Amino acid sequence: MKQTRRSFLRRSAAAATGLAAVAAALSPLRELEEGQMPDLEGFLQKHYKEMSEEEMVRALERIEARVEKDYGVRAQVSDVRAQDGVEFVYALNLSRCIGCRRCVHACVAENNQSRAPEIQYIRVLEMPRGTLDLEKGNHHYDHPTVPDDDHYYLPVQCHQCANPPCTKVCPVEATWTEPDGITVIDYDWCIGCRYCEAACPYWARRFNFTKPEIPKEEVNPRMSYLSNRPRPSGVMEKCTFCLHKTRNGELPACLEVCPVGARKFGNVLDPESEVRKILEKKRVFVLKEEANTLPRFFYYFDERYAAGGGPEPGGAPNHSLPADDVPKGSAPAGSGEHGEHGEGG
Amino acid sequence: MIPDSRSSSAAPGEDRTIDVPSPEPASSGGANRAPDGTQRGPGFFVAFCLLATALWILGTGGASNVVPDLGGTPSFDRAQLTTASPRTPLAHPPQLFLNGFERSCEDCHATFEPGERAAAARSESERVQHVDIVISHGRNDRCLGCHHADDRNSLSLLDGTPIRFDAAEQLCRECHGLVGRDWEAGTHGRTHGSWRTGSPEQSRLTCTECHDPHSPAFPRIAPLPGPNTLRLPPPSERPPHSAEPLWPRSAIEASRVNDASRGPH
Repeated sequence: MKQTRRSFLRRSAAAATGLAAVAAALSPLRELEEGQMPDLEGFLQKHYKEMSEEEMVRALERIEARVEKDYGVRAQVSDVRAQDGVEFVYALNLSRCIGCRRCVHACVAENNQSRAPEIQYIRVLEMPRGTLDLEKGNHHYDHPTVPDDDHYYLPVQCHQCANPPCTKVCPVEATWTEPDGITVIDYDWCIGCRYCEAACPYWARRFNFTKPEIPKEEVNPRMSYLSNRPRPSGVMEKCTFCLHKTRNGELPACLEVCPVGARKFGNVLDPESEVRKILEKKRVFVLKEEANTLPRFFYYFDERYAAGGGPEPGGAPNHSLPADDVPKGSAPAGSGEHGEHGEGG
Repeated sequence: MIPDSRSSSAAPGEDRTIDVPSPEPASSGGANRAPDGTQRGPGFFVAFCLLATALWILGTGGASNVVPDLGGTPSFDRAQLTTASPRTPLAHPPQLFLNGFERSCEDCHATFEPGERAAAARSESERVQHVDIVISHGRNDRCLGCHHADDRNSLSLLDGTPIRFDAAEQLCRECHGLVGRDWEAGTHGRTHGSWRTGSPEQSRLTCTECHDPHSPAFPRIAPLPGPNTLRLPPPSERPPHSAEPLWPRSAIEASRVNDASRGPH
């Protein structure tokens, strides 16, 4: 076929267009910082459940190298597996929680969440007494001291559901529930579509809009593949009950820091465990029971009755005193909200 | 730059196709091109539009790298994230420093006559010693409600049985039975170390490791900083639902001005 000037120009123009289109499609890669491009082996890394032991060892080495490069910290990254005969359950005593947010920040410190933009797994809702309407909750409360007399505090985090909506919507099966009840994410498999964030009724999932920013001195070097290793940009993350700690028998960071002992954690299959006792003996409820998510996160109250035998008046000035020790006549103005309990008794 | 040279070399080709009215139909245009020459001009035009778009994306790709101020958590004293128990456990017998010497309670109280010992059961306003101790324990506002009348190195159960200071929970649960039962079952109080029942690492704090026995209410404390959600103002500053747009109109206008100055993206 004869090559004319016209056909040559036409072909070269088409080729240039194609090349430019490919370059444009790849141009987001230019925004990656130096060294953020995955190497070939990392690019070909398999799904967490399909990796052999050897492949997992190499994956953990890659993560350690990446953490050292990005944050200048020599980390110990492990892959802790679920134990047989263990199903983790969390219980939170609403009669004790004072809303101090220690759990929120201990969680951030333990799990290497991004500091800016800020990512937190626990949201402490300040709720008006007498309602469980989450729409009335406020997580921006800013009193000089807590607890506030007219409110109670409802910390919400991942409920590790037995019937989780979040894992069902994942188009790539990057998130699933482990045998011990913890719902986890393979951060290297997640495509960042955020379907799970929309599906979760408890606002428990967070998206990394940017590469997490963590000050070097605050990076927790004890990491695991499924929990607190630093996440790449563009993937989801969530509470994992600190599985790098709890699968080794320790307690989650949010529980350890709780100054009032409102948080309880344990193995529900152990009849002597604290959480089992709570489920058996306390008045327990779950959030949004009608969603049929079957949470493994339970809230409970203490039985406390006022001297008159009726329910405790709203706005008891003190969370830790038995009700009959509350000074009489000092019920704060907030008790008007609960009309019938305000006076008498 | 290479893209520039490409676009300049391709530009004359575009002119030529428009100028020349289809001299050789479908000789070298490829199978996917329509045989009549009239399609050629628009085809090239589309191709060059794509090329120009691609070049423009390449040229401005770096502009989207601008990261806005993402805020972050206000700083706070990280020592507040302690996992230690709030109070040190009571020692038996309690030790106190007086004039530089370590003393036990009985070192002084043994010198009192029995009659004076009984007089020590004073209310707060009548106290002449230990006035630094604030008693805020409900109705239990007398020293001898818990301390033993005859042996100040011990506590006293309701029936007068002396008990050690480090076994104070036996005394507490004589009044606080429900909480005592909960504490025994592990449903009240703090557990440290491990969730494994019976594990040697597991320890359960006693009453006085959290509560000051003289004023056992847990003190109010300052909360740590709230979330920086970057999205919504606090509810008190939000307009009611459906009445107004979530953001004030002025903020929307301001963001439009900013977008215009930044150029399309």
